[in-house]
Amino acid sequence: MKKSFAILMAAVTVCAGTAGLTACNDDAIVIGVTDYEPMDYRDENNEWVGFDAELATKVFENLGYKVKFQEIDWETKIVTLNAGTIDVIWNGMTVTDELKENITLSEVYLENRQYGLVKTEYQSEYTSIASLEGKKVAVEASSAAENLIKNISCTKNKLATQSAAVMEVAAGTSDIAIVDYTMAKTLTSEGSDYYGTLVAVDLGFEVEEYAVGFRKGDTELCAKVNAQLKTLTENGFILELARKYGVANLLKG
Amino acid sequence: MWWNVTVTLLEGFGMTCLIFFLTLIIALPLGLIIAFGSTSKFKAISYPVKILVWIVRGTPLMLQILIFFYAPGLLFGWHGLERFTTIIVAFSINYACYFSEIYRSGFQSVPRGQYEAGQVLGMTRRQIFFKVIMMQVVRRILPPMGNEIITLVKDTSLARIITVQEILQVAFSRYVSKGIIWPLFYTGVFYLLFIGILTLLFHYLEKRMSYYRI
Repeated sequence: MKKSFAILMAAVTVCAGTAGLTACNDDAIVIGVTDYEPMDYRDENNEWVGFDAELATKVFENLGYKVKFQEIDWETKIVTLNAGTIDVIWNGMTVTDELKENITLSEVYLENRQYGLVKTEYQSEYTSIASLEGKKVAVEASSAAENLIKNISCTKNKLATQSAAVMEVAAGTSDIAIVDYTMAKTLTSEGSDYYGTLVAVDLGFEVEEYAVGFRKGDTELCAKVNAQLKTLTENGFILELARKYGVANLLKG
Repeated sequence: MWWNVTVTLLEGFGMTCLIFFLTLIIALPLGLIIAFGSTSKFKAISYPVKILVWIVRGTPLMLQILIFFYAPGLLFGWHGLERFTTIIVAFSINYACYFSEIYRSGFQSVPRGQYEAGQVLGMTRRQIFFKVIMMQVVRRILPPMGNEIITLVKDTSLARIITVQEILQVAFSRYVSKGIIWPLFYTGVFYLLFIGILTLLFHYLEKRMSYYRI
């Protein structure tokens, strides 16, 4: 009896010890994301997948970190990052001067463009940036798109998400939504409710660069990630992943 | 800086107040009509009204706003209501339903004897309603009404879901998005002051109404 008790106690101690150890090693990097297909989105098992999600997992796995995904409000991303709720923003983030000032950014890993989404029957009305004048334009608040239409005289409807901006167009409450190329492509492809009713139009917006964001001064982690991005580009991992998620034509160079 | 932020937030707060007062003006009488409907002796009236109240109280106000704004266009291709109008309609219907239940509780809590006493004194039905019942009802429903009205002040922040420029939306779009956080918390002061005034007002009204205690 005494012996079995001793064994039990030993087992408990070992278990507790291992549990403690794993907790200590559980140095997970928390990645801030929004639901943004095909970069970061939830699959049918509610797991985060997408080009950015898989790339981030691979990069941090190679660096010996576990990753955790945390859904954030895009408008308050900088605050969330600085508050320590998340460690990294990896969510198809377009580099802007404002971001450069406030956070540390990785090398550019994708190049994106903004597209318009309009009802199919009005497609011919939208050929250039100038055709936005006097229209009701829906954008995500604080997004690259909002920045692009800053000086255009049009009604600006600033929604909380890109998908809400697109819904405005489908409901007819806005004439056009300006969203990322990847988003526009996903939403107009088969399987989407908008397939056939909405169409993506190229208005000739300038190229934007996607980068990963770190807390200002977190240059050590940034350098490690940059090195990994270089390696994964060279060994073809990134190209393969980009093909999988249909963003291969956004790869640099 | 502080002064500029205050002025900018006040613009948003103007919208907040506008939503609040318009909703109140429409929902207070509308709630009374709904209360009469749901207590009607005719089932053809009371059942549909009860179902309406169930639907409105059974779904989030945010969802109701989204449905009022987007559903006409999405389902029928209609040109729906403007953003601000949508907010007033959705808020008024929502709050009218909550108010109706408060009114109902008020009417049903007045003892039968009060009606009978009026009859004994030879009062007409009209006189009984306005001179005997009404003031007792008002006195009884004041505290729950105050509660609901205070909730309305804070619910106005839901208008931002369809980009109506109320105070929180202004704080987010003008400051938080540029990395300036404190104006977001500063908006709390505006709500607190407004609700502080409402609280005092309701205290005063309750005191005045204590005359009608039975």
